[in-house]
Amino acid sequence: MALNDILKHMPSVGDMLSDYKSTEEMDFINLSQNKVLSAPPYSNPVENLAKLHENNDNIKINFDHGTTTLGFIYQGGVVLAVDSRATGGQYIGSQSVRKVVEINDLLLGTLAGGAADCTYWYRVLTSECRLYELRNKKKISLAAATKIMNNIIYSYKNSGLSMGMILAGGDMNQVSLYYLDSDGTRTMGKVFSVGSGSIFAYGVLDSGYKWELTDEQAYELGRRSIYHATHRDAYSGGTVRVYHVKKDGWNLISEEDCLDLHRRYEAEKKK
Amino acid sequence: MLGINQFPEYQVPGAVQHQFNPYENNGGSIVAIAGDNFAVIGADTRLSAGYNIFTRNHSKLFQLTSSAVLASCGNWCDSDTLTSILQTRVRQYSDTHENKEISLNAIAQLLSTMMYGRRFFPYYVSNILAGIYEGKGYVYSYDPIGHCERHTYRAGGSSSALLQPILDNQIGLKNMEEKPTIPLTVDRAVKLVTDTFISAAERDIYTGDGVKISIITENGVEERQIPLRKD
Amino acid sequence: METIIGIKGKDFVMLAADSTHPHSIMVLKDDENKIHKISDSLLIAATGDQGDTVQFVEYISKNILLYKMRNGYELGPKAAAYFTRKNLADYLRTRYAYQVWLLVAGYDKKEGPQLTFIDYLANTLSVNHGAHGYGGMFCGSIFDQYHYENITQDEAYEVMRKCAREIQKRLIISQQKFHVTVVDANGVRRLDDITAENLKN
Repeated sequence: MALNDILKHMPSVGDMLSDYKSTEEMDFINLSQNKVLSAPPYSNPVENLAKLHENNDNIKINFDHGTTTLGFIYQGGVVLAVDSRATGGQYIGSQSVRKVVEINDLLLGTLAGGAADCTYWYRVLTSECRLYELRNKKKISLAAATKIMNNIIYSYKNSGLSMGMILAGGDMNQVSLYYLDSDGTRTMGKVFSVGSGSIFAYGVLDSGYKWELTDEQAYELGRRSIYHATHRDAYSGGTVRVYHVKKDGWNLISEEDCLDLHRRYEAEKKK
Repeated sequence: MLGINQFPEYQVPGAVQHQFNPYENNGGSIVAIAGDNFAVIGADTRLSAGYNIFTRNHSKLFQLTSSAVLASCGNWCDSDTLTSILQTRVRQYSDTHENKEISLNAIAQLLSTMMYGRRFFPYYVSNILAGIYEGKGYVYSYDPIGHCERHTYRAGGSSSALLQPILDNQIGLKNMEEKPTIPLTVDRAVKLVTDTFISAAERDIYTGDGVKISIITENGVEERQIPLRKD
Repeated sequence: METIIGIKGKDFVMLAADSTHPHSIMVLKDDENKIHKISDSLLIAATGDQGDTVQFVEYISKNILLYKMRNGYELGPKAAAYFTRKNLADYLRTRYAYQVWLLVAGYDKKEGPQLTFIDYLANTLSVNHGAHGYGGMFCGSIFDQYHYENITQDEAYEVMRKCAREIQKRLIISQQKFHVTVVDANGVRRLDDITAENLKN
């Protein structure tokens, strides 16, 4: 008996494994039940899927990975800033990924980790948020939205999903910021950075962060933190996007190529 | 998971370990370009495994509707399964919607969801979907577990790392100080696709023999085949 | 990696927990509350796997509240600790065992104070003082020297400060701030945080 029994929550992966049936219906069960994924014909997908690849040098399933994302709260709301690079192994799969997901006109989320994992579960969350609105005639709070996401992710814990998300939005007439990841963490905070470039982003972010920042200063801090991360971290790059979240909605502030930013910052240094 | 490796005392001569590997790389490259009111998609026609060439005339293109063509390569048996199920679903859609064709963006999402459904035992395939939606050309590309992104041009498969930079230069005009203004017409797109394959056949052992190109316009899908090196 | 410590006196139980939220080599957050107030006379301090702790403590606390709603009276601290242990032990034999280390602290008007030590294998002990985590290893001897049966709340708080000072001096992992909460006949009270700055004074 678990929380599942009280909330009538979805079955967890473990439960799915026991009744594995290789039918077309089971393979694409997520088309009708979006929270249930088909179980593999082996236990422990983390280890055993990796083993399948180990034995075959030719086969490499490299799905898109690698990121720098950040979010912080200050007096004027929340700033989210992200890069746009997706890497599959050494190969840059894309320089134009939109790593900020627009859940509705109040909520935003960032994606780091497995691109497919994040986009799929954000899509599920978006539908859950919309269903909440239709059922309750009011917008879902960020606390509730993140809890829904956390419960879904937690039920897939230890099955190999890879996600690190920062969600921001209006919540009880104020703006708040949550961090969620595939270990099942869900926590509220002031400053978060996620992804392979986060250690670099934190360096700039922590040294420039204070509550009293003006809007312009906050955008620039977010932008600069991501820019420096793209400069140091090979898995991050592309364009830097900055979003501003206030309690009554969000705005896209800027989209700038890293090369343009680099030239601008270099020129500023020489002055 | 407990296996025989956890019990070394049983690892004596005569102990047989069975292993099954469901993945194989059958090679092949695919390229797609979207224009203002058209889309061009091409795939080579070689099917191979390791150093063996199985066949030189094998299509990796799947026409799904009058305005959508999917190119799929990688592990051929996975491509075969995935595309046949997708084709069934596309057909089911029109049968349950008074013969209305499923739109390109709906196929794009359907394919993504289907691929993610196999998150824990993925199809080892590289997919590119091209077509037109409301008169405009689109290209969607996928990673093996269903991450979908819209592009204007995209290369996939065994020589994607060779082909994508050519397209970045010729169509994306990436990182150029003075960008030339050459309009992207159907003819130029077809020529570019052909040229990229000629280049790939020169350097990639898994690409060659021929290219099949589908040109998708408002008038439907036109197919062309161009021969490549056969060595 | 994180630290939770507890001390039982004649008429109270005091818990302290560091406030870091580590994530691989980073501190994700430095104001995490690890001492969960379950009711006016029950506290659970939890550490371990990030996802599991929250999920498990929430499950236990909601069920304890449910029990109160159904029966009109609360589970006592001993019963609450036993309920927690039983759940953890049952899950241990499934594929989804919870990786959590707990200190359950409660006060009952008849039974008095109760401090229960529970580890991830559901080993359960009623103790006078207990600790979990790397930091906890430094606290054993401090408790042995300074803890006695009639220890007062002020003295217990001073022992907590000694533990925090030792952890900050000897443990390689930085734990700058400790939250302290006490439960006694008057209910649950949050005391002043123990920080690196105020330890200097």
